[in-house]
Amino acid sequence: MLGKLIKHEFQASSRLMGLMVICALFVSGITSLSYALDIVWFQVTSTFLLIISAVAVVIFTYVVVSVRFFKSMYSQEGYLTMTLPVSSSNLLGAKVIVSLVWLIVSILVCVGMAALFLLLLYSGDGSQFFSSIMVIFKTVDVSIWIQYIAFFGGTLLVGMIVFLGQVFFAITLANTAAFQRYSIVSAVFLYLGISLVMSTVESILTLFIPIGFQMTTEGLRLVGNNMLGMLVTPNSVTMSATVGLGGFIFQLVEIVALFFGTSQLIKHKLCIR
Amino acid sequence: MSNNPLVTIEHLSKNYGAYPVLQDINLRLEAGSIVGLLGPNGCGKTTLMKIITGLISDYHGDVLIDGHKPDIHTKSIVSYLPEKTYLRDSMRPVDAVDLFHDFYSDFDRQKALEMLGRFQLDPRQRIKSMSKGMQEKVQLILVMSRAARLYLLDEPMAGVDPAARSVILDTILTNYSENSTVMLSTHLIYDVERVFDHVIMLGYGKMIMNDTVDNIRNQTGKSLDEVFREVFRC
Repeated sequence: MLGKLIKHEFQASSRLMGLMVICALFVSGITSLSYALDIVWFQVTSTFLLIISAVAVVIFTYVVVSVRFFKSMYSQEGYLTMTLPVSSSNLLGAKVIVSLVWLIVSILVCVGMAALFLLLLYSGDGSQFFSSIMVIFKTVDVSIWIQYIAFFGGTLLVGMIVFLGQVFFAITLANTAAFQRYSIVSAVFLYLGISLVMSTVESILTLFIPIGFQMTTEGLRLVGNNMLGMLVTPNSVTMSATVGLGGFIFQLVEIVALFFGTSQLIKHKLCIR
Repeated sequence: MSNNPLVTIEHLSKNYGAYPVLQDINLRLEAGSIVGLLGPNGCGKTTLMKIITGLISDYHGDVLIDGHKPDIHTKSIVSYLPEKTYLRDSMRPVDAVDLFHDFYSDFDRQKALEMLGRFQLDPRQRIKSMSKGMQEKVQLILVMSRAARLYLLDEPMAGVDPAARSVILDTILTNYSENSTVMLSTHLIYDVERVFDHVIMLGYGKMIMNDTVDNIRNQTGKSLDEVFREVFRC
């Protein structure tokens, strides 16, 4: 059933997301054309548009996945979604997987547009651009780059899942009897409240829990220091930076708690109006 | 097939805030009957149906469908037609048929496509470009193309012309399984009372009447429409 839910969720969301990708490609094409034509006002305008669009693509996707969840679960479409013979965990799982794919696509589109911007800064000289990139990459071993990319990629991925957990939980809670009268406004405020509280706890745990990754030129090292200690140490400027893992571990727990909570609300407190 | 009554409801109560919509409702539905769910606006008909379908899970009391609380099993045997259009605007009837085929093992895809043709509905036309009547027909076709054990139809003829009402009623009567139960809520009692075996009348959050149509007519000497007007006289 999960596979079928994912298939239909992609079908439901692909029109809008496909349009977004097409718009991003269009803006990128226009910007490239402006540099090829070498018209200064056109270059400046299109570059500005490229930068704005790169950011907008990501924000747009975050908004779309949130609105899509609300519409498919708690608006009129919910009459269909919530009467399908599937478990609430499968429903949520499909929503998370598809939303995550679109968020990753939006990040890749943003990165692509940023790379185009950098390439154009080199006056479109691709070979010089890529040579500069390779010089930077060759400063450290490939395996160390892989460690850093995996760490930051994993952090970004977990951050996206946390966002989805918070949004889905807030929207679901806003559609229970207690908040339903002003469900959209309630959802926004509930999300802001949950996000603020969770971010505060994450920050505290990141600073104080004595476990972290030290970032060195030899790669990531697991250390028993806390981040606060690193920040207040007199020689912190010359020391390798330590990223506390307490907040990251809390995020993993938070993900489980939020999705479990959302599933339980659907099972016991559902009230589709 | 199970020996349990198809639907058992005991001491069901549901409030929206401080407003009681359903108060201590008790009811048993056996298989193989057509049940009219009648009552004025706001009396709880839709709420009752939504509780049975699992769209509302915060209520007091016991609701069992085929011996199960509303869950995956009950959703697989209940076919629900809400009053609202629940299909996505960008959907086409053929997409909805594919969806129903994927999730409901009792869905007859061929029957649905034939009915779309009979109603002269274009399977590739977007839902948002269809009239209300056309959207109603698409949803009715999807619901009635299932061999469900319980059909819940909430105001299936509301907002459509008399000719279309007749077609919808015929579609319901000719396409449901005889071992199934159809529960139909409507305000158009005069048009449909001839098809009901059993009537449940809700009013002011309570069950006012729960009897066979024959008993009601024999005891009152009146039609259902007349009884309804008398009970809910303004």
